[in-house]
Amino acid sequence: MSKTLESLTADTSIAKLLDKYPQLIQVFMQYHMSCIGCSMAHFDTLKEAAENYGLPLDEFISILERAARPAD
Amino acid sequence: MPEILTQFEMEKLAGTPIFKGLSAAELLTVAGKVRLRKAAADEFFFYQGAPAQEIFILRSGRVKISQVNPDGQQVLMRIVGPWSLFAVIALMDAEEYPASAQAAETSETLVWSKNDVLELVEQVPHLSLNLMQLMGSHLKEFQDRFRELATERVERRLARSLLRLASQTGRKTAQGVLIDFPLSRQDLAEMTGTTLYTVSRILSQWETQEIVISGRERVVIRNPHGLVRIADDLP
Repeated sequence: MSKTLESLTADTSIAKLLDKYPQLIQVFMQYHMSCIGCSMAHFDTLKEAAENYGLPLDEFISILERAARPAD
Repeated sequence: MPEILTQFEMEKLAGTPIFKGLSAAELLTVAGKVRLRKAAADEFFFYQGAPAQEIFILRSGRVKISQVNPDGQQVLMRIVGPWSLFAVIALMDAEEYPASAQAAETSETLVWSKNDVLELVEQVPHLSLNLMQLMGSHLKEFQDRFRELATERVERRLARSLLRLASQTGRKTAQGVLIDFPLSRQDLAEMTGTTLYTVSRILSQWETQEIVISGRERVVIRNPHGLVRIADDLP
């Protein structure tokens, strides 16, 4: 059974994302991103996080989408 | 006759740290004891040194909690946003309010008398657990601030204060995260234990670095990540 994954966009909020898919915490840690537990994660989007850490946005989103997808 | 709260207010009340986890019937008992009080901008809900007889939940507006030291210097302790509790000290042994509460803009509050709340605690034991947690979180905030004052550079203290205010009262705008509250440089100096001059110098520096936009009584965090880096000493 595969659950449909909500599509991630540049404007997706970091806090909401991590709240919904806690398994993504690993990805943020892998890239040494300090978004986890950050008081500003509530305001920042994927686009801003990618810019802050110099990651190409599209690539970052597809990595997150892969990691969020439940195993079939 | 108790004043009746709207459905919206009852739902908000059920979500506050002090009343969370209460049953609908218990919330009605709580609501039955409430009174409403308003203050225009700059008016006081209570003064430092006045008998501590009531606790407050802010319904709308913003309230500044500040203390005056024996030399007459004022220190801004905390800014209260909607649906936060203040003056909880009244439930302790305190005879007098240790700080003043002044409306920063038109503010409405829900007020309970100390005696009513203490009676409620006896009927609803869960309330005392909530109160303990609430006081614990206040204690933690003040311990953190004490540690910052004692050990950290003023840049980090200012960055942390702005982040704390942003997470408590911030609002995302096209320019960045606006601290939605009239905040003067003097307020920031009082909160971080430094001088007006130092706050102005650091804010101008951050403005050049495009981290904040600081107007008169208004701060927008343009680059939240930049500020987090300063606050947490990140590389």
